[in-house]
Amino acid sequence: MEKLPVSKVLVFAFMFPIQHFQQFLRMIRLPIIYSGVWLAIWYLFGDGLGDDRFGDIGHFIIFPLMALLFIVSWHRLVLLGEEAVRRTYFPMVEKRDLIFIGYAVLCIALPIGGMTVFSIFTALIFSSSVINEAIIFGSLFIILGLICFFFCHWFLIFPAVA
Amino acid sequence: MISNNRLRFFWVISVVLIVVWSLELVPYIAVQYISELFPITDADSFMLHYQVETGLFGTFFYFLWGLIGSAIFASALSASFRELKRIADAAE
Repeated sequence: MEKLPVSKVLVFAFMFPIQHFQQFLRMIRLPIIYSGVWLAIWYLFGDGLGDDRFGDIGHFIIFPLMALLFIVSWHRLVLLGEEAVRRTYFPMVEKRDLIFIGYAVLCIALPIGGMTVFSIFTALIFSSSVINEAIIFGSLFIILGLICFFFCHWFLIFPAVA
Repeated sequence: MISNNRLRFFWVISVVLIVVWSLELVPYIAVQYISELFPITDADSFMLHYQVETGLFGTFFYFLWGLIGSAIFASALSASFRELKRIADAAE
């Protein structure tokens, strides 16, 4: 079987956004506008509405949502071309976007959940000395690398869904 | 053979993620150096550190910077997907 051309993919990954900078600017227009409106509301009324909680909604919901919608569009641009990425209407969310968001949440939640369980177990097993903390942190990085390795084909679900 | 391509895909993801993560650090390091080189942009006088790190401008700037990183990562994923699909189709 043929091998995946690593260097070709890497060059493409960095050259494609440069070559399609016009499309990039066009595609970030709506996420930037919506996020800018949110930031303006936060700036003007954040104090009255409880600054921290109001800001957290932006940081953890609005910005990631806008970024995810942009990423779906970008996958479509790479795979299908310019005609597949026209989004000029509000709220610009389709069924495929929702599936994509669901997989993204799952993809973030699973490693965090696994790391949390691992942390709890290691914290119960080891005492809190500096060396043991270093072992725990080192183990966490190794576990994270292993998770990335075993689930790396999972990432292919994102272009497939988009 | 599948594991070989899995390993290659893992390399692609690792390299892209490390480069994107390094790119995310660039504005922060740049502001640190500019602040040290030119007293006019000192953090105490114009609060550039604050603006780039946590302020409204900083939030917006890092969001935009994050979109650039996302575009690079998404390009890598899509290109890998396309190549792996082509390889699988050729194998059939």
